[in-house]
Amino acid sequence: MPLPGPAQPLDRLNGAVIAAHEAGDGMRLAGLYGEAADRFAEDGDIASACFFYTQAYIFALEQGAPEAERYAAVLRRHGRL
Amino acid sequence: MEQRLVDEDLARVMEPVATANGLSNRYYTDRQCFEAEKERVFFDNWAAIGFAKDVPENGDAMPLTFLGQPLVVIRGRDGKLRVFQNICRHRGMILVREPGRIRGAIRCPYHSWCYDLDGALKATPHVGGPGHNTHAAIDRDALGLIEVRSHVWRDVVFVNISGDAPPFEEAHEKMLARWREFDRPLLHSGADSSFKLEVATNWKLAVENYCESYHLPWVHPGLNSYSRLEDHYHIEEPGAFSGQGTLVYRQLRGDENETFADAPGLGEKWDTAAEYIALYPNVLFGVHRDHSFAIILEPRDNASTVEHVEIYYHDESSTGPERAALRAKNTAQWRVVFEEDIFVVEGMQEGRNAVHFDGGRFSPAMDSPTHMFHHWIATQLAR
Ligand code: FES
Ligand SMILES: [Fe+2]
Repeated sequence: MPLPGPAQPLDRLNGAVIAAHEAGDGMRLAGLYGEAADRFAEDGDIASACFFYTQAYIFALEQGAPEAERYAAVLRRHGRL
Repeated sequence: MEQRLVDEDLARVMEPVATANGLSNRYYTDRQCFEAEKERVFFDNWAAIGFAKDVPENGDAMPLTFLGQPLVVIRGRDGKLRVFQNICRHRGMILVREPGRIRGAIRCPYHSWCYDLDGALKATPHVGGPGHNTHAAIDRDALGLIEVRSHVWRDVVFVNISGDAPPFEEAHEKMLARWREFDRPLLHSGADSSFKLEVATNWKLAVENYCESYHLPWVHPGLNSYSRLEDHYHIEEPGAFSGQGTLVYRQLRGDENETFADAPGLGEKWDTAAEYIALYPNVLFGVHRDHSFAIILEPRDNASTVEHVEIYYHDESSTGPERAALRAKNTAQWRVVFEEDIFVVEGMQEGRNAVHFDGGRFSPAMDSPTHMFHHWIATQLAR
């Protein structure tokens, strides 16, 4: 699936995301995706933000990380969860 | 024609012990018989798949394959042990590959649907399109992990895969009553009390051999030096279990004459008694005043069985470092006994290639617990 939204903030995170995927570091993935999502949200790109909040939410949920609740709340606010 | 032959074979097995034949070769060598046995003997009854000690903490998950079935044993946040089919409700992907601790949720490695430890479907990312995590067609409440009926007794995890067996406590009421005195936590000390044997035999031969004391003087001459044939008695509960007991159990002693502590509150009988029971289909249990063991027979194929042996103690003083040497001695002693049985169970398996073998005969005096097991198998297969 092609990733939605402008590529720029993603490019900067891309390498870090791939490395975290390879290392199986779910906590780091949740953080990186959350960061990307926040940036899209700041730019007002809700579609892209919700895509990345979803990614962040899932990894945080898997890790039992408390941030999962923050991501879930944003998604819920946008009717995405 | 083929079908009738099978039925006649089973009818001969179900005759009284004095005239019965044993199960014929095909039940040890034929693929179709193995498949039938899988359904009727294992899936329709309470089969043993693993040990609860291997998921000690809440969140621990242990994937395993039992007769081809992908299963995962999970201890929930509530401390309850559950067994699920180890597959995602989305596209059937295997969920858990390695044993370990689940911190938050089980995430499917394919499209990342997430499940709680109790099996509930928690999240379905992008299921309604990118960034949309719900869809009217996907009812999460209806798509939790598929749970398999399970029950833990004496640390052994039993499953009834068909879901049709009577409750475990009902199916094994007599067994539970027989050893009620031993109903207390079993303590396991880890690797020094655990081993497995891979044996080139059909799992049934391991049960058959375990049930009878007839072979003791020939196969276990060491055991027999203090445990004579006449000190043994048969244990027989039709349709549920059979085995043997001894009246002359002597505790193992260490270099300083130390022993393992007894289970508290045992009746006098257990000062010198020990019992060895095959609970049908596939667990071999042993109890003594000061320790117990359980052997799960894992059938890999007709002629391949893994024996998972775990030894347990009845008092915390027995599982500490000060008893490490005595535990090692006990484990080594049992290993010798179980290894002594390998050549006979493998030899009998090889013997089942002989086309003129008729299933053999039973000594009415010595082999009735073994025949009882055969009778049960035949009953399951003839249903
Ligand atoms: S198969 Fe599990 S999420 Fe698709
Ligand atoms: Fe034996």
